[in-house]
Amino acid sequence: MNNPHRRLGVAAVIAAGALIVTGCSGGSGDSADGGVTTLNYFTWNNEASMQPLVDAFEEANPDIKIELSSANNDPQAYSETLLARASGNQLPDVFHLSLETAAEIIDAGYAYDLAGQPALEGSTPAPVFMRGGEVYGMSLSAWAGVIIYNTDLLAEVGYDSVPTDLEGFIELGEALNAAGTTPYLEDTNGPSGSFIPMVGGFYAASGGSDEGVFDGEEGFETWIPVIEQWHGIVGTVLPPEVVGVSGDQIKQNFMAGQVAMYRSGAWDFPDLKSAGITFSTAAFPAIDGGEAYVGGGADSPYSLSASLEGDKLDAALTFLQFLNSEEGLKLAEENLGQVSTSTNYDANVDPAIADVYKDYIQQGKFYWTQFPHDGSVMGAALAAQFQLLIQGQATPEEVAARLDAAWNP
Amino acid sequence: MALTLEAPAVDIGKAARAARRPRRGRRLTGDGVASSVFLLPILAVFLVLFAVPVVQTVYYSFTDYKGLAPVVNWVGFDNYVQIFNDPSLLVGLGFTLTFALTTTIAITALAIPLAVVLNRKFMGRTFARSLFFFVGVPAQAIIGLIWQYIFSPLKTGALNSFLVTLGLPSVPWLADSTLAQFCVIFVAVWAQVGWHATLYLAYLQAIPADLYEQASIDGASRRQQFWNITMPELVPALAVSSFLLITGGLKIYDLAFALTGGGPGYATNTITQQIIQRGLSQFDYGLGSALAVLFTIACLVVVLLQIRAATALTRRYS
Repeated sequence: MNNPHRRLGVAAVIAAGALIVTGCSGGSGDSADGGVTTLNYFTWNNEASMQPLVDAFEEANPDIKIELSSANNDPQAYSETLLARASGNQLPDVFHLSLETAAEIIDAGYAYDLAGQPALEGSTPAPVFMRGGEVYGMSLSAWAGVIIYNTDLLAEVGYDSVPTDLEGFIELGEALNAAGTTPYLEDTNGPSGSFIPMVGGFYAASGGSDEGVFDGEEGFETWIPVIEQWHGIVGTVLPPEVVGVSGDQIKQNFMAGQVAMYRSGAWDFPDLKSAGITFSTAAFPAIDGGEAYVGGGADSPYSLSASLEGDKLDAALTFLQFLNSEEGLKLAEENLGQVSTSTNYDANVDPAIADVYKDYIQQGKFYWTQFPHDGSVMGAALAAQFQLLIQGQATPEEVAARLDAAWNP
Repeated sequence: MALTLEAPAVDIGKAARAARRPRRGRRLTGDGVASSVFLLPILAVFLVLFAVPVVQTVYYSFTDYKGLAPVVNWVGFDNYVQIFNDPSLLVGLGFTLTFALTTTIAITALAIPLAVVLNRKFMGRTFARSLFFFVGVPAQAIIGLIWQYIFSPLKTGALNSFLVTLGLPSVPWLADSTLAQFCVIFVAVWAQVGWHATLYLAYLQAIPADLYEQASIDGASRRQQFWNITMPELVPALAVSSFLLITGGLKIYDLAFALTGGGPGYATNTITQQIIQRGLSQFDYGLGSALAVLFTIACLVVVLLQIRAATALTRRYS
């Protein structure tokens, strides 16, 4: 091959071929490198809060390394990121199922069946994450979405707790507004954390349920009475400018003493305590014809990718076993504010949420909408429609009609 | 013995025709082959990263493919019908087009005078040039997050706190649909005007100074010099800058998503966000693909119009 043009041509062909081959090859990654197995874990929780559990596990298992990534307690962002990664064949080794993603992930065969695994002993699988006898998520704790309130700011306007009826709640809001304090904020970038518990309280008092809506026997017009009453807190308790504020900003405002109440849960307790805020928790008020309720359910369970095998599968199961051990559950309680439901550890309920835990969680007075499919679609639709409702650009009837359109496209 | 050399009989006409004809034989085996072979890598990239995905996208747009399980059913134009019946998608398309056109006009209108100023001699000129260029360097998502804090609609937000200390009322920046759209456009203009001013500055520095001297001697005012010397020389830069702005504006996603999440409601939703959310996050590849096809057609139309306008302008001033 004396012709330089021909040599260059051959080199170009080889380069093109190499480019195609590397571009088309999958990126499965090595399972073990120098005897260390690396797992990537996409956590539901705040990364800084999850790190102590990861550190403790790695110390006890030096041959396993966890690469942590997180959506920082943003459920909507977590669901969308997880589904995007799944569709791109980049599902994490360890992740969390949620109500928004469970149906799609499980039905597509992406989650590993954990039934019969020793790691699950002591835990109670939630039915929504099961298919027949197969278990796709390890639920270790329950979550409660509550009103977290600054006891000092409420005391300044003559309140020692949050009223459990809607009229009283609005009066509290007006008193706080008069004192120059923002009464209440919640993250409007996802389903309303105050509205959904009110739906639960409405169903509890009326004997209804959301099954009729999911089955198509009735539409979201059954929610109109709840939407109308919830709308009464806009402008009195919930300022309209809450739209456009991120969950992080809301928490920062509460920690700075600029907001009297906000919607959150025990997962924020470590940060709130570090800010020196004196706080407590309360249920969401009852609407007329309803009961006071909290948002809640089984915590998003730990799940494994169905593609795991060999060393990686063993390492992942070892990680789950640690999370369901006394040490892991204790660390989760201390760092994540999680209330264990596993028999491997007796939960110490934080005093700030002890009353809510006793009066609501243990009494079954908790609710969160569990869409049997298209949870991510409905979550986005609920967020957008309630933003329009708060702005005054939609009526309760229009919100219900658009939710129907999203559920039945 | 004398040698007699006789010229061989030659058909002059045939030789002339042969001389005019390109010598294919030798060039094909030499330069021609090498040139064609050098195109192979980019052809491979084009096929793998563009042609195949485009064909796949068009195909999926006529199906109910969910992106997870390998189940594909032909649904015809159902996805396209759904798009035109979904008000949220139409709002997204409207904002995307508004954003692209508005930022193009605003950035162009600001970048040219800025470049003229930065072309003059003054103290701190180098620092000023660096500063204006630098604001466009960070990723759009980072810029969006920073401005989300500044434009927080709460009374305690950064900008509102400043307004309140001046005795002015707080403004619901990101909580009002129209204001939120303004904020997204404002931040995009703020982030990009420096970069485009730098582009115009490069062209300005190529304009011979004696053109302005001659114009001054002839009595032309500064304004006349700007419109009759500077602007015609900037037309090529205008074509490049406006093309980049239009194409970048149509693709907008990270800045708007970081700043507002697409809200309030769907006010700052963009088509790219809808394609990603509906197609990937919500597992509706069919609908997402149909959106992508329609959006590609819309972009083609807009860009072709822009190129036509730029070409006409270039011809007018060349």
